[in-house]
Amino acid sequence: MNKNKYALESGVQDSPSAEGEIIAPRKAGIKKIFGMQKSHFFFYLSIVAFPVLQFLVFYVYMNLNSFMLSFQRYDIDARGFVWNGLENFQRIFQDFTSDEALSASVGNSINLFLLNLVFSNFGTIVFSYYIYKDYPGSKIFKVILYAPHIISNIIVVIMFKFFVDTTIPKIWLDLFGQEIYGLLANKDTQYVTVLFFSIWISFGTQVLVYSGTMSSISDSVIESAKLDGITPVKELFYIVIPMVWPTTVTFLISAFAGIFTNQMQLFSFFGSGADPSLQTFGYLLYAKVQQGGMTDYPYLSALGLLMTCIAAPLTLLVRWALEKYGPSTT
Amino acid sequence: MKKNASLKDKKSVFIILIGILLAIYALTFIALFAWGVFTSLKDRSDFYVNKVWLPNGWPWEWEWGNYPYVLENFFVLLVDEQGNKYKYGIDFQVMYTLIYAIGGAFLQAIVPCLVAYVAQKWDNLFSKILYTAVIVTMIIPIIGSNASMMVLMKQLGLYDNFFGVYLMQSSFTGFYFLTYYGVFKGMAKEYSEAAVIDGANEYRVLFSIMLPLIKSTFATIFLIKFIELWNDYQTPLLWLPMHPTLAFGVYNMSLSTEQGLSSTPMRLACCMITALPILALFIAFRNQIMGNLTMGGVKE
Repeated sequence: MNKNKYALESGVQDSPSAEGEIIAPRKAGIKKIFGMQKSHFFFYLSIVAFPVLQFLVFYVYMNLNSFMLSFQRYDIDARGFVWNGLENFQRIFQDFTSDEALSASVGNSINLFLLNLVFSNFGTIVFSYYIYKDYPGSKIFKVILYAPHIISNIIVVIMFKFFVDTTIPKIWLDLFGQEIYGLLANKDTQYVTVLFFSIWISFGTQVLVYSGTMSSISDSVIESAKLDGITPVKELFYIVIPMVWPTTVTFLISAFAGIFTNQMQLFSFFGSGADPSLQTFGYLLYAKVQQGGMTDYPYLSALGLLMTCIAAPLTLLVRWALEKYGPSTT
Repeated sequence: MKKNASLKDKKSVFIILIGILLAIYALTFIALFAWGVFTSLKDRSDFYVNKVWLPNGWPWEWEWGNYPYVLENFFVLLVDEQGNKYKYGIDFQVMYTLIYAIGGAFLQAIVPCLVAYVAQKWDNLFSKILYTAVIVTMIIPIIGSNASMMVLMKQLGLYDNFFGVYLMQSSFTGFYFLTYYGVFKGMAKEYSEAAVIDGANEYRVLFSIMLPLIKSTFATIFLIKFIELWNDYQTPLLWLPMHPTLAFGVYNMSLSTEQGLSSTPMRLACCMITALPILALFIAFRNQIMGNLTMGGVKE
């Protein structure tokens, strides 16, 4: 028994002897690489080699290349990228005042982020709590909240688009006898409609993860709180939210990290032809790469770098604040 | 007794309020989807006069013919860089969707799984680096790298082919690494230790013992990824422009006037045909997909 224990702790594979006993090898003389036995090292290496190489090429190199592109331009004659100093950044700063799409992107991206933070993130926790407590209809609500993620986003967008542009004006006419434009066709209601849609379909996966995480909260904690006469509101705020706080931190960090990547579903609604006043950075960066060519890439890389310089420190700051000042379960 | 009654009242107000909100949400979604289904069964003239309610007549009189018509006429017309025109029918779109979704989902489910396994099992410096890489990529957003990725993919000759997209997406970083990491960490070591005692090598332990033990988590992540990729049109649109998937085709159809599917009922019938397989898959595996998926979070 002791021999087995020794063998496992030393990480050595043993072979059973003729008598069925395990003979422990000599501890001395086992070559270790990275604190691992040689055979384990080669196993480890065989598993991580491809993922690490993939990471080095498609994350590290690609992002370094993106950084370099920010200071370059495409030379059509040379058919390659050449050094361009800070010219891309100068153009971007000029465009912030002259390009309607770029200037509107600032406000639209921030508005969408704030609404998401309030409605999607907090709404998800409250809805997940309802599902976790298994209140009436929770099973069907869970499926329906996830439904927009089961059906393709583009399909939900098409249904929604036709509904608000053809059917809502008809319903309005029947009810009030007044003709109105479709909500997406009308410039005055277009932005609010797209914002509403973005929030409306944003619950899915987070509800799954939250309700799963909540279900792992110890029953004894909930039971003892119930014996003390806790109300559902207090249970949610003083027990459940602190217990799922690491998950909340993860989602909040993702929300902050996504400030400048959220497309507000604009590409699904309008393709590459969304009105400039509606655009977000996420939409702009995707649509321009999809539509553009080599000559556009340095400018877009520089814009991405600028956004990264804002979003990255902000995200780190938020993470630090959430971990320092967030609820503690200890 | 009085205290209990008062508690029940407080509970009712809060819970009822959330219940009402959820019911409104559910109703709006069901109403939209039902409207989409019914509209897909109208003919053009019926839809013109009746935009809100059920199609005219009895169900057997509804315009079921919209569906076979869409199956025959749903295509994507693309022009390559040399100006050659290609027409992709629904058969090609289904084939490309399956290649994209099955291969991509498998790689995106297995790669983080394998790396999480070794990183959790051997707590050495390299494992710490791998774990840190996952956290860093999650908390430091790098924006606007599509342009650079496009340059890289074209330089490597990986643009517009499935192998290139598989390579691009086979990352071990992301939420699911943490999910696997937590699952492996919470597993009893007895099985693998017993196998080692019996002389099994590390590959045997991994593929014959550990992976079967986590098959439920793996299947859930594979299914979630499969659904995500089936529904994704932006990745194929950007990276596989001459390999249209079904979602790509639906996006194309929604903006195009070239096809015979320009009326609202026809377009919605096309949406329903595309959604049907994934809805069937979801119904078959709903417990697996909707099961308990937890995440330890970023904070350890």
